[in-house]
Amino acid sequence: MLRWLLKTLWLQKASLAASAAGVAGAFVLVVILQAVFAGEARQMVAYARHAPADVWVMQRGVLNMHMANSFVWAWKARRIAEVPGVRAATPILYSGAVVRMAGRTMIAYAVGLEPGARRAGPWAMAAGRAMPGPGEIVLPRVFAEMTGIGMGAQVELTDKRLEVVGLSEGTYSMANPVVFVAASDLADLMQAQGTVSYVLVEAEPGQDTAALAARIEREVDKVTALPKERFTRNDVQLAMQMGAEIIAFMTVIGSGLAVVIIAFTAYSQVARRRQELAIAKALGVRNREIYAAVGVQTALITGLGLALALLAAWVLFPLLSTLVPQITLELTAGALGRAAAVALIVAVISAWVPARYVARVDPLTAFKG
Amino acid sequence: MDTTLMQVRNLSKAFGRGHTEVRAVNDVSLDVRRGELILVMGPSGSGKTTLVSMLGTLLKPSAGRIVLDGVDVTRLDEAALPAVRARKIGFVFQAFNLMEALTVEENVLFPAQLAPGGTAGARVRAAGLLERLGLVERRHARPPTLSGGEKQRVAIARALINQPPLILADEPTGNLDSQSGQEVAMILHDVARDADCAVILVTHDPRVEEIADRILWLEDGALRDRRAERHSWVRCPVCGMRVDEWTARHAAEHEGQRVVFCSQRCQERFFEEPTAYAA
Repeated sequence: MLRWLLKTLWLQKASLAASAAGVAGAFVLVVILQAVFAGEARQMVAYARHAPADVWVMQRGVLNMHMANSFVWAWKARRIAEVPGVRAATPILYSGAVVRMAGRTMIAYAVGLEPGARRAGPWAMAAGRAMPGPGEIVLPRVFAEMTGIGMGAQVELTDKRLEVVGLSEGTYSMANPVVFVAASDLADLMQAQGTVSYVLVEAEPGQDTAALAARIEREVDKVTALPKERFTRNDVQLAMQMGAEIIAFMTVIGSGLAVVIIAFTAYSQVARRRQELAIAKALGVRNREIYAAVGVQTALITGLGLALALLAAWVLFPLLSTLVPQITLELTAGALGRAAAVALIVAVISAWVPARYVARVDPLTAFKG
Repeated sequence: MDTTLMQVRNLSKAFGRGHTEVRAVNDVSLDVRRGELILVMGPSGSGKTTLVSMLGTLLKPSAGRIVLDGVDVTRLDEAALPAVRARKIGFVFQAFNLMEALTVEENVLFPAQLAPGGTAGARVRAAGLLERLGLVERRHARPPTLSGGEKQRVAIARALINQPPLILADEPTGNLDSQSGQEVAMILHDVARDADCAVILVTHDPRVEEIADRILWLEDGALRDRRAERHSWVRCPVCGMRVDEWTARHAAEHEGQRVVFCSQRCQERFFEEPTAYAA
């Protein structure tokens, strides 16, 4: 049966290729969407990943950065620096803000840097200076390219006009691009003089970060201290929760498309072989053996489609990153696993349609030639 | 020793209900012995295919029973019938019905996977059958590249691969030229004789009559053993079809002569314009 099935499929190579390509198209959609969200989720914590902090300290009860507000008295930053095991404590101000430039508006996260806090600033530069002084701003290079502005341009951060003095790399994401300004400018905008948002704590060598975080919470009143991994994980989880419904919705659409394509292909394959199925039944092949063969057929088309989709994704991802730089794509093992699981479900559902057809094929048809 | 392979008793098949009921096969009884080649003949629409479909367990009878090799197959569950077909019955179809994607050898071996023992022993039998049927050179060829005669020989080899006691052949010479048809008929004759197989052959082909042990005439669903009867072939003056003038159901006098027709329709057409057909 399997040999018959495989050879029949091989005999209709054009049809098989078209089906696999159709299925691949649907799966590419699913894989790209997963990769966009994985990439975005990763990019959302780009600052937290690159900032020189083994432990993040913030207002008590705050657990992350994305869509969060944190206010800590500035004197607590100095107190944190004195906690045993702390090598350096760098305070930053942080707030969501509207950036307007060249007629476009961007919702961004602004990081306010104290003079000398270079390590808390951008970690890679495309042009200009990394440290903005008063009246200056460092923008993501991708956003500058999107809006066509360059060094020396004037932008508005809420109601404050600032000059672009640097273009940073790796700081753009669709959800939260990061701009850097002087802490004094941001404090002025936020009317938050005397406060900071987060304190980036560098631990002494050999320090256990969880223990250090616990110590900080004990010794400094009303703060939450989290090791870097836990802090970034909180943000990623939040991002995934926010995107989960969209991912699920788009996955359902992509998968539904794949089901339709595979079911139609498998159905047309068996419909085209109606006479041969009737002959097989007349010769003594049981329905369940044909169901199994149809199952293998749909699994084969699905597997082929998935493999093609991954190949296409491998080719398309660098291309997309070049053509659409504002999108960050990341293909994770989890995304691949989900795509494979979706493919399996799709194959099972798709096999049901032709199986119903097979059940109705009358072996008597064999006599009608 | 009882050589009866199949007993058919009061077999009937009706399609439709009430006023629209048509009895395609009506109260047919028949004994089939091993090694016997039986021809089932009859006009189109006489119920030949319906009868052979029931004998092949592909169609459930409305009444009656069929005992094949000691098993009443009419009482078997639908799910058990494929196994009966795979092990006890070999089919030869008019349209050859080979699997297009498979080679000659793979086509012959196709039913072997459905019978106990699988394909291991069947490969040896397949080699023997291909040799016997002159297909060794063509064993790796695919059906589209075969001639009609070769295709039908492959179909016969496929029917024999599981060594079934019964071969059902539906118009096996219908799509063949006269030489290939003769060849196929002789192969089926040899199968009945050498393999101790019963062969039931449904045909319109009068050339096959010579090799038959028995000829059964099916008309209007009823079966008659025709070898014992007188018969004389004449042509229907309207359509040219061969008709046995002794068993013909449609006959009439025209200008002092008896004219035999294949059907009521041809009889009516004849009398609408006798001069067109009388010559």
